[in-house]
Amino acid sequence: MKIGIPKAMITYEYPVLYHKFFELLGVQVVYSDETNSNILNDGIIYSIDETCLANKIYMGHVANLVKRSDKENIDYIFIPRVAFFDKKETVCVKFYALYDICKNIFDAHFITVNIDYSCHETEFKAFVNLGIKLGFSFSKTILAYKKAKKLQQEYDKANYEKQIKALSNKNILLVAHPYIEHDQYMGYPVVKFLKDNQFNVIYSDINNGMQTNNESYKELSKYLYWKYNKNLLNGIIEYSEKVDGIIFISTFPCGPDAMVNDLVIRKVKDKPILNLVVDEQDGSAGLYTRLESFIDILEQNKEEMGERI
Amino acid sequence: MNHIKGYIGIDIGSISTKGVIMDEENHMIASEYIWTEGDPIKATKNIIETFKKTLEEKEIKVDIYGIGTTGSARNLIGTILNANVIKNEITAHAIGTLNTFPDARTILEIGGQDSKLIIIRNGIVVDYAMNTLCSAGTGSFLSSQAKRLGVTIEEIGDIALTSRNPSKIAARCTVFAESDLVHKAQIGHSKEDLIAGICNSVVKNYLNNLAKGKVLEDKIVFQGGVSKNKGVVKAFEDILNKKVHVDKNSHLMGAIGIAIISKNVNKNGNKLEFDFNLQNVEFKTIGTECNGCSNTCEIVKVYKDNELIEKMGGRCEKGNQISNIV
Repeated sequence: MKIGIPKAMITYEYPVLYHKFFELLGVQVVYSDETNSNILNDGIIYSIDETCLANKIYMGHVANLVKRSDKENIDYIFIPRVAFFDKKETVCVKFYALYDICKNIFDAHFITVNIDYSCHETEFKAFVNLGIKLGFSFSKTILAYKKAKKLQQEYDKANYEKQIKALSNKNILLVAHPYIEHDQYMGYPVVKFLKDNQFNVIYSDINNGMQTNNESYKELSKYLYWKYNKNLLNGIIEYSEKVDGIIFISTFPCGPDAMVNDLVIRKVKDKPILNLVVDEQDGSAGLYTRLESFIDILEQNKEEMGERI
Repeated sequence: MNHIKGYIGIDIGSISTKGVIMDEENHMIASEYIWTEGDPIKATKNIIETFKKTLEEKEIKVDIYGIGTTGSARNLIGTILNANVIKNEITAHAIGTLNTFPDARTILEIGGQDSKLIIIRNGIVVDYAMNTLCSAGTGSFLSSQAKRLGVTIEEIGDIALTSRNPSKIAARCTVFAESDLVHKAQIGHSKEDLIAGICNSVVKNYLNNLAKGKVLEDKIVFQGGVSKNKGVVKAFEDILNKKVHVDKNSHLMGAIGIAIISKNVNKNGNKLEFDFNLQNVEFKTIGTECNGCSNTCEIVKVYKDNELIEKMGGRCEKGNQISNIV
């Protein structure tokens, strides 16, 4: 059996869990291609125009898998349906809808995990249902899920330790969802620009709160209920002392980011902040002008500090 | 005739191209301001040609020790002039302004198609904002509305100052502002009130877009092409209730800044190869699509007298490998 996973949005939140779960069950996994202009164009065609860029790109990735599925014998395309988590945590409604939208738009076989704690659909239960639906035994599925979950945690921990070790004297904190940061189209040009200018990029989503149920985000906002934004705020609290500047990247028009980023920018006072909003316009001149001048500010601050000492 | 050290700064904007030659003490030797008219290469050639004539008239011999480019065509022109520094317009504007107003703390800049707000503390840039996708509240909005009212862009400032009761015109969006303007005109508002209203609307739009949550402290300096418009200067002073300083070279600040940066960058003090006879050199640009991967980046190849000197625009290194044939 072969399963295709779109390499966009929620897949970046659990890069190991999904992959390993299928692999441990003996199912082959293929990913969609890296985001490129074909994927983006397809995404725009298959989305309504008001949706965010990340969502459009997701649709493009699904289209990419649908196109490949005959040739490569892909049996199912895996699209998680994620709504509510424990402790009344939720995610953007776009995540709720992905599975149903794709099922209605594309002529292909889709499977899902339905995670919605408000209806007692826990992650555990969802994965067990998925395994059984694919024809595996109850016990084998549980084993695969538990192992995959553990591997995901180990991966997160290793990633975190690697990032802490890499802290240098020129750091920039990138506050963006992983599906933006690591995407070839959205975040990569920014990351590449910063690295080319000898800045060490710190990812806000990789922080010590991933392991423990860290609630330090409450310093910035007590009533936040978006799970992934909470995680980003934990990262800001942890790293903001250690970096020279903070760059926010959000996609146009992302609802949660529009609210949360604005709130944070008002509250974090003592660091230079750049707020970038990416959309499907291809012109990169404005982006580089903003990044370049932001780096000039950071470099000048550094020189100034050096002179004072 | 003595040879003196000169530093060329060119600021190639979307609407206008500005050029200066500065000497070692940061004084201006020559300057020029012309329309870009969609052809940055031709505009640059014309500017260099004017420089040549000005220097001949003033009987000054200049050796070039620095060439800097800024503005939206900075990479292309930087390649053509073989610049020793290519920098964004925010840093260039800040340096240029601090040369004239060392104690500036806020720079308002409104150009042809974009606008910027630069916050300076203790002589360094600490924050900035640029307008995003929309060009409302910039020079092109002013010129299109001037055309609608049948006045030239140069007249706007003086006409606006004669208004006693500026019309209230929507400040959020050019399209709304325009329909507001038409409506106010049809119900009988006088032309000077309408024009003063447009100036106010530019300022309000600018402040709503860029100055959100930022503290505009004295000394406030206003520059860019629109700063030549007295109506907008007055609108800024009325709305901010503060003195707004406009230098006589306010439209050249970006070019001045980049010339000074080019001096600072050339630490070794080496003389650069530069020929003022640019008019006879043929530059050509050819756009192609790179087929290295499915991103199909647009690559621009720049030719100097049919010889390839640079390829620009690719997302990765593959773009550099595409064929060099014209």
